[in-house]
Amino acid sequence: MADTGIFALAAVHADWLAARQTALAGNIANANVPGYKATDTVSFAQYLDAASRSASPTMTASLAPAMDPFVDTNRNVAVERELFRAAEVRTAHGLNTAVASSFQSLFLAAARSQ
Amino acid sequence: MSDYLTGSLRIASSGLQAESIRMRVVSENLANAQSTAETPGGDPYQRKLVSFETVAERLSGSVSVEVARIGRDSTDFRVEHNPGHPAADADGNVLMPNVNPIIEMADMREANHAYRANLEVFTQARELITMTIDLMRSRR
Repeated sequence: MADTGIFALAAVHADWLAARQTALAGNIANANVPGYKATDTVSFAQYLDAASRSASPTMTASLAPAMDPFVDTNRNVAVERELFRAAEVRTAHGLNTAVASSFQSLFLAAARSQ
Repeated sequence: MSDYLTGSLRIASSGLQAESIRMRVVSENLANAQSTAETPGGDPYQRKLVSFETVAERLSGSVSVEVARIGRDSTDFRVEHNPGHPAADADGNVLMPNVNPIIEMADMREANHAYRANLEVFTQARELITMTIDLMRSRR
């Protein structure tokens, strides 16, 4: 069976989404701290790039964090914006796990038919 | 499980805790809005104020929140003329606490909103963790 790397990709994406969730958790928790500036994450393209560069040849995604995904911004926290992003993370993570589990069933079906 | 999601839970709970302390201080202020001094001419209850502070979260590399300190509001006390009051000074004036119930209500509202937002984040982080764990469920 050819290695499509789909699980490694899903793992990196889940990791990035979790980092995004953490960033917005920090923003919402600190929404009432005077002078606090919102934290954001790097784009998924950047994160994936760093993850595939740090990986060993046999493994697309390494277990160690690929890079520090957090970046500082210069804007104040808008709770509405953060909650909107939380909804995005929720949707993307649902899609991610759905894709991973349907690929898993695919692999299992292929293994069973042999 | 990544440290990010559990870190997210920790951060959200730090926010919940900080906002609940703020809520407690608001209720302290409101409860003592009429607490005068025990001795004639003494100082009444002084309004309390919560200050928050950003703290680095070690495991996830993000930031949580903490109550830095509970300070005292240094604005002037209200003066009421009430000669019969036990705390009245020689001129019959009583110092009343510098608590404005409307400001306290606004503060309570804000704490309420922030608490809800943190709770929302907590619930969602849990949901993401559950979704990830569900991947390990056996299927046929």
